[in-house]
Amino acid sequence: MIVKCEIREGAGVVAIEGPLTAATAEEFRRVFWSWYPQAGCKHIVLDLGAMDTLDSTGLGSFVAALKFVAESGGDIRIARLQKKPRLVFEITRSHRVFEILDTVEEALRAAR
Amino acid sequence: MIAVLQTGTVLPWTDPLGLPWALLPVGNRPWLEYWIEWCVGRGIRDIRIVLGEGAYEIEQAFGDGARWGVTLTYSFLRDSTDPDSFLRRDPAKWKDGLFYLRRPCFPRRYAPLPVNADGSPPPAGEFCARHGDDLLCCLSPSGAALEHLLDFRTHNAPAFPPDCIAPHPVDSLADYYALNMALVRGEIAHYLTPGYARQENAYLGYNVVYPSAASLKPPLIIGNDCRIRALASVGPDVVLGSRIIVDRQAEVRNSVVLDGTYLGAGIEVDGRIVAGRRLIDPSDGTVLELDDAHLLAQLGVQRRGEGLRSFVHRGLAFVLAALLAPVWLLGTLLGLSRGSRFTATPIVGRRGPVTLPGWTTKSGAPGAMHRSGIEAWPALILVITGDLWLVGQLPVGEREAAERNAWPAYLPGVFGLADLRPDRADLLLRRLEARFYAEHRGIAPDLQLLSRALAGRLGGRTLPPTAAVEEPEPAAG
Repeated sequence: MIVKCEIREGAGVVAIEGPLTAATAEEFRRVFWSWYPQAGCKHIVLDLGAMDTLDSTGLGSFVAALKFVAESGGDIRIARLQKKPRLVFEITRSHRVFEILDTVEEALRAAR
Repeated sequence: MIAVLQTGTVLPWTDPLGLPWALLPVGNRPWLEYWIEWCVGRGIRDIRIVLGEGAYEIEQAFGDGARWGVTLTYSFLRDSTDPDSFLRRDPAKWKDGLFYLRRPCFPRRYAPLPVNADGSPPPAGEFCARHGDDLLCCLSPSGAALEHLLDFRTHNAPAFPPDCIAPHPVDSLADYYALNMALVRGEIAHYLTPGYARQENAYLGYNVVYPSAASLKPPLIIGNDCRIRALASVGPDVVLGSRIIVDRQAEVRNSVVLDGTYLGAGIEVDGRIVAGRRLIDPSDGTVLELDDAHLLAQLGVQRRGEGLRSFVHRGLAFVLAALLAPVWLLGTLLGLSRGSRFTATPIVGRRGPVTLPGWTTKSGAPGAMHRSGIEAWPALILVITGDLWLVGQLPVGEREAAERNAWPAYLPGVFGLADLRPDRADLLLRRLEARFYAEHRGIAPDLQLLSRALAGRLGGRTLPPTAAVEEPEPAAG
């Protein structure tokens, strides 16, 4: 799993490639928790266009990240969610917790 | 009249459901049972079931037919490309008439079966049902007409009358889902629904336990031995199979859940098919295989004696590893001096992915270590650590994981039946072996197989590599 973080249009864009499961969630936590406080942005867009697998641990790390960002007054939006991870969002009702948008650009507009 | 029900046709869309089409539950009853019931209604008492894919399970499920007051006999047809060959073997058998179910379809009824004043079925004419150019099923009161009927591309028998039957093709997961929904909603009448009616359109099997804090919303059908936890909600429009746990605060609606499924706490399933740990979107056939027991899981049946079997395997592996260690060490050093390389083959072990160490000669040809089986020494260490069985199936690679999921059991081992045949990679034989291990594993058969495999190796049989399922990746050394 690869996590790439960057600032675009004043918001943080975190792209995840590969599976986010119990085996890789710790890596996501390590990267995100060290990057976000010094990134200087409030809102985050998770670009999940290249994330093919998600389990409850991976989803748990998104919820933990949302809590972490919310403490700074920010929000997390999800973009380009693929079909299989979307099913995980749906059965865990997480699609009601996160705002899910089709493209990164839409998510960035919503984050302004 | 005799009925011949051909069940050997493989329907690719049933793969994610893990059952042959004949056993797929439709409204919580096996699909083929509807056909048997229809035969009973037509007064047909002699039913021949032609088996192919899932032969063992089908025979186990339907038995001798005493439940329906009919005689069920089974034949195995290896070549499913010509389903009619069974009929052509002995045409004289069908001279008194034949009902032939040729392709999987569902016997939809739009009216009760017509009966004479004495309760017997009225005499049948010659009918057939087609789906495009394909013949689904046909009814022929005399064997004389059979030849014409089977020549279905040119012969035009009339379609079944609506008061008799309307064979309905089921071509996709979406069709299967829609059929179940139609049954649970009561849109298709004239069928028996399993379970007792707790209230209108709510059918429950035996040993269904649910607290008053759980909510059951009809219409729904629930199988046997189910547990529905507090604050869970089931329905409307739900078919739950047997041995299902719906954990607390979970919600299920507009869905079909197959036998032996655990639905985790708080999850929401709407408009889906769930088969064990597989979540299926019937609208587009997307299959999500969740390896996550917090969300979905397959409830297994614990076999007795597995702990003792594991202990014996590990003990024997320890003894063999201790005996072979000096020889393996010597052979390895000798091989390395001659240019052999270490290899690491990723396989799926008992507990998940694991790497099987090995080595290959400089030329790639099998060396003496390989021929004698001593190269299996590192695999013995995996048996001691509990990652492999000492006796079991040839381990599969990660690329073959989908194939493994279709097997009734996966017990990866170092030695086994694969050692006794020349082509270890034959997929059909490996599937049959999976059936063998699922039903007959035990300490005595394991020891017998181990002795035969070891004798074969010491006798100098040349075998492909221990895990010949994927190309090994060269490792350092």
